[in-house]
Amino acid sequence: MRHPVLPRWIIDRAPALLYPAAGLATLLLAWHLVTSFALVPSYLLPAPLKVAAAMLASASDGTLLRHLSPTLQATVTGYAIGSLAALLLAALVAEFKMVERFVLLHLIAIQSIPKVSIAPLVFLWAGFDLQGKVILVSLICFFPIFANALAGFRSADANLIDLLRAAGASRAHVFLQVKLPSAASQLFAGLEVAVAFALIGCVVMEFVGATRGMGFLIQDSSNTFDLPMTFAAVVTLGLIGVAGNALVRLARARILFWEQGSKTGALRDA
Amino acid sequence: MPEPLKLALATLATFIVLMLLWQGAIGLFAIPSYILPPPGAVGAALERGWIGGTLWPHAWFTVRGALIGCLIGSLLGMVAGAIVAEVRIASLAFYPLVIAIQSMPTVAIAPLIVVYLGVGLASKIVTVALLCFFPVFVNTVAGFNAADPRLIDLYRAASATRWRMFLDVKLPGAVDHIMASLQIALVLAFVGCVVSEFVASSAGLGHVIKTFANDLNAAVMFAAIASLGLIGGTIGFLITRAHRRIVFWRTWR
Repeated sequence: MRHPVLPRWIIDRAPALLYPAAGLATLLLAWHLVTSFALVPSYLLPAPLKVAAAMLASASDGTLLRHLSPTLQATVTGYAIGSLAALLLAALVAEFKMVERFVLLHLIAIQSIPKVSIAPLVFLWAGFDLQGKVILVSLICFFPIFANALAGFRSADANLIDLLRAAGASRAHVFLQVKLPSAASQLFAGLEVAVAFALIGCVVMEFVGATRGMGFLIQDSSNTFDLPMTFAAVVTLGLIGVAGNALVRLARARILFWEQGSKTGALRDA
Repeated sequence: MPEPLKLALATLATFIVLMLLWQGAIGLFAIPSYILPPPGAVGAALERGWIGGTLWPHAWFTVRGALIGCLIGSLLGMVAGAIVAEVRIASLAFYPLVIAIQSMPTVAIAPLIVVYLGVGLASKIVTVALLCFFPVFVNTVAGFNAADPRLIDLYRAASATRWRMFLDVKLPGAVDHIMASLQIALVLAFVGCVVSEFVASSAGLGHVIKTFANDLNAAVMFAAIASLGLIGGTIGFLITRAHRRIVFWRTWR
């Protein structure tokens, strides 16, 4: 049945959009009521409208952009380096038994260290400018992407590989035509998880030492009890996480055109 | 040569080469010890910390913060997840929101919680609980939704109560997902605790790492970081074992 006014795609997506929107509105309303009836003192929980005002004010006077740009720059650079390194090493480990023997256990051991804990060390090595942040971000992104890519490479259909080998395909050919496409789904799952991780790495580095950046803004504003600003910064970071995730999913939908609906769950190893 | 032996030898070889490179690089390039301490100094710091006992109170602080917070957050996540999975309207309205929160850097809220609750253990526990809540919640909902529909139909045909169905079908179906999420929650627990300790703390391994960075004593920092890895790895291993014990019906590789 066609709706006389609304196009088809809106009708199809309406429930999936309306219910969460209603949920979000309910939460915001509850927050508003809690603050307007002063159930929680306003210096502890600022009203949602105050947070929105702080967000707009900091966006218009350039404060937000000044802190956002170093964070975004470091996050994107570190994410790119970390994911490329992870993909490369996962391919080497999957392809060469020798490499696996030499490095896999070490990687597993390093994986059990919470990566953010080395932030002060990176700070000593590289300072609090772009370099230090990029190092921590790429390191923290590396592991989820590596684990997912490796699992992906290993999930390749062994029969198909045998078939290609029997037909005289080269190793590179098998890798490019079979292993990489079958790893792609899981790889993207890892790339999605890594977006939030990248932001965490950058923000933690800014907690440890920085004079600019969203992490600095959060810490600085909460130390001076400017909680509307703190909330505004936290919400902004959250929105960036969501946007980054949406970008990765968009790329996934474009690149993995054969993938419909069924998605591989991510290994969320940190 | 059997594969495990090959693996062990290769791993050992890499380890020795890394240590030699580490030691050699320090001698060759005259790297100051506040940048890269020699392996021996890290060993000495570990010995002083664990046998001498200076690291114990800090490790205990971090473990308490991470485990208590993880326990609270995971329990809340399971309860909220079970409710959301059972109540359709809640599932439609809130599940997508929580999925969105999963792509946000939740730990960014750590300074705020320190402002609320101070530099003691309480702020660590709450930060950790907040971080652990989301993955457990999401996996619990996914687990309950993954219950075998044929079994549900069977129970329904036999007019089983909702509660019986929950206990007999849905809960066992969700356990696998929930245990997997505990593994994630545990990793996040240590991340949350350490980050909260970086922000401001009275004790903890994260606190040690940060204060000794100010003292330019990298050997103790390495020792504290290695300790964190060891503790996290051990607890993670225990959870994996528990997972295999509890979900005995699954075929484990």
